[in-house]
Amino acid sequence: MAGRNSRHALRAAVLGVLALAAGPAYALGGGGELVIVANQEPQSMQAQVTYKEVNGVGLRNVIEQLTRLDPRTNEVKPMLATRWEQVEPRVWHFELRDGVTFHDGTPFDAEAAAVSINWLWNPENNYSVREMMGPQITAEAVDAATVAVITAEPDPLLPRRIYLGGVTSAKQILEDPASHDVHPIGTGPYVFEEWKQGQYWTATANPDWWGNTAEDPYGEIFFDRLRIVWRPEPIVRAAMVESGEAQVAMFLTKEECGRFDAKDGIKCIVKGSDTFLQFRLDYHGAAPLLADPRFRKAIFTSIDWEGIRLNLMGLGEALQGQMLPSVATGFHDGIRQYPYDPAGARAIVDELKAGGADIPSVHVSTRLGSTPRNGEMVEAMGAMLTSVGIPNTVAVEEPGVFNPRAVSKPTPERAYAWLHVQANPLMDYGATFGAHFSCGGIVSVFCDPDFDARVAEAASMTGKERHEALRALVKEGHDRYVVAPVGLLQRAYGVPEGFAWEFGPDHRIVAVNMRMN
Amino acid sequence: MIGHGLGGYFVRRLLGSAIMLLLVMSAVFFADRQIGDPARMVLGVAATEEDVRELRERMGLEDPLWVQYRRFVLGMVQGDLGDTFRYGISKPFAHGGMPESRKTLPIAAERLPATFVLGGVTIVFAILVALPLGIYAAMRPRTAGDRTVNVLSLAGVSIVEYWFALILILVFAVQLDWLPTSGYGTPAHVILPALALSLRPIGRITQIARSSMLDELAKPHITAARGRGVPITRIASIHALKNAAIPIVTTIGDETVNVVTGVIIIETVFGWPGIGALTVDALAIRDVPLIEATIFLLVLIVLGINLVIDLAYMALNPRVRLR
Repeated sequence: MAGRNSRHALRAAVLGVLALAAGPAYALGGGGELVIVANQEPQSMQAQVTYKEVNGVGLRNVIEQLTRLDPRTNEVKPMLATRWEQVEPRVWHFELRDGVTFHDGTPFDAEAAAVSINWLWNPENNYSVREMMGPQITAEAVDAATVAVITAEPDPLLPRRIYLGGVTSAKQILEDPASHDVHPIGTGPYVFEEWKQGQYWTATANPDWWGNTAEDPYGEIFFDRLRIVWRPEPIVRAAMVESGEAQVAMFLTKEECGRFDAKDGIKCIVKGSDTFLQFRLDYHGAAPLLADPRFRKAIFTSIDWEGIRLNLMGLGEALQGQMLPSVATGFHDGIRQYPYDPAGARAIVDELKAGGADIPSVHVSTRLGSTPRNGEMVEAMGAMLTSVGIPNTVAVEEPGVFNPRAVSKPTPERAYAWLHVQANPLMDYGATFGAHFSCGGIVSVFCDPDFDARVAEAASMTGKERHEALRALVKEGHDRYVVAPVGLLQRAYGVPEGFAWEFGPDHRIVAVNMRMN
Repeated sequence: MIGHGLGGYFVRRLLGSAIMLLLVMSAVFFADRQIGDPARMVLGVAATEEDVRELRERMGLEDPLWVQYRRFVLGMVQGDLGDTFRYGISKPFAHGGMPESRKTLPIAAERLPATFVLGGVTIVFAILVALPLGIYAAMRPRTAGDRTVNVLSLAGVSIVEYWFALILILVFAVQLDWLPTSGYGTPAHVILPALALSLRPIGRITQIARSSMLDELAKPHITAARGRGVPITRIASIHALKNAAIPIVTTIGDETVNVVTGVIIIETVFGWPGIGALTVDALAIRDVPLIEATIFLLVLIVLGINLVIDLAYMALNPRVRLR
């Protein structure tokens, strides 16, 4: 341990000397370097990557948004916008924070915000953040401090949806867009320094961050420097925290987590996320029996969902027969997980056969690497289906095979079921239905124009009225056996004892919400 | 007409290597066409069919397969294996319609120095450990020392590198805190990955060194030398080792090739930014041109090592030149 302590002391001394030599305008936190070890390297540093933490770990320290979600309440709170108002059904005005500058020195104003928003949500750019897209968004400056965001249809979710969109330098977008991919220029508490591909990326504390002097910052700079590294093996990630090389090891396994909790000096933090694992059964494929509610019920009740969650999923929170947890708008507290009733399922299958039905083979697939042990899960599902007399095939498919099939609309190939993860940081069933239950939804397995119309109607509502309308649709979706939620993914992190970190269900790695006590 | 001298032999070997490279890369080319649509992989699930078709055209995937193959072979000759669309570059249809791209071969080549460092340290370390062990065991056959070396060398070739790497991390980085768990940048960082990679070469070279030396030490001229009172250490290191060198050098060459293929796993585990880790990254994101570039360089390295082995073999055994 002496070696480790002396290394740390030396590192702290060097950092201290460097900090003094640099002479920042704002006294930095003095917490030294924060090292986060992620499971994968980002594929780019584009602003849009910030919409999912796993795609660009730590990038939200550099790039901020107009709004943020409170980690405790999940409410929409001010960030670069201080207040907002729906001035017309399709127009929102966002008042921007004064005195904010991008890391390249250019001012953050309404013109800059409009350029950034238009770039991010532009259908030409086709960024994957559009999977969270509601009605199409465009933006324009009203005055220097107010940006208008116009939606193609009324969108009461906009202030929440806009939290997904990172705001970066308009100068960079307009003058050097290629560098936008590898060199993020935001307004955040950390200034991007270097991305050494294959190794790490780094950022340094921003002495000019608006949060240093604002009355309502969302955190405080404690760490002077940020370093993100990546190791695919959870054992190696855990070892980096155990040896003192890193402060946060992302996505530990249940076993690693147990080991951390049993040791002195380190601990494991486990928290439910906004990502759920779900089983979908095509409703409008080529096999007519798949649209028969009795057959669908047989499939859904032949699988032991709780057993799979507890024994194979590992770190999974129970979901009450619906995709989102109780904080979500539209959550229905009267629904429960589909019961495991193999005898009942077998009886339905026998009844269908007796009626002359030809029981189709169900192909159950999952995408390679989408979540731990998903291959075992589909194998278990296949065995359970077989046990009640439903022929099936199961497969763990390469993304190149799985993805195109997931987006192709009703074809014989689409007469199948799939197990996959999906995130919904908006915590609103309006977004879920739009993407996953509508006739035009990119990855939808369901199509009922009447249902679509009621979703559209609910999507234009707000408050309690919206909640009740969506709640009724949640119940209907459940009763029509569209999707079986397996569980809400819990994410586990290894940290040193005394490490404090406040984060919400979106699991953002935001250094100003971390400190070492 | 290619002659039978050293130059002729070298040219024949080069031609053979070129044919081998073409065969391997052709297999890679056709296999890559079976792992899904690269354009769809680049653009993601939200892309329209029109977008995908446009990108496929730009990537040349709409051309007949033989046209793609001809372009691929010509590209190999010219050192251009195409563009990556995913590795640290634009995904969107920015700046006039299509993604930015970067050449794959320079990206892959940037990773070579790190792999050479790791591979070089590994094989040098393996030789320094294995040769003395093998000679020691051969000089004391059927003793406790010989049996210990045998068991250790057998363990070396039997233990899975991946598992051994994780054990090394847990022992030397976590428990003892002597070395960094992983990463790159200082001499200390190379020790654990090199140890993990060297296990098998140490085992194999030790086994071959021992058996070759045992054969040599049993020959009459060695017995005569011992009868003349020449010290056994001198006999072993000067007389026997020279004659035993051919199989040992061949094994070292084979193991160097194994190290090159082994880096794919070990670099990934240790976060070592070499070409092995890049290959895994490219496979993970199904970046077909980048996969082809990394494999191209790995095959070139393997063929280069084999050529060097052959030349070393010739230097040790001049009769080879005439065959």
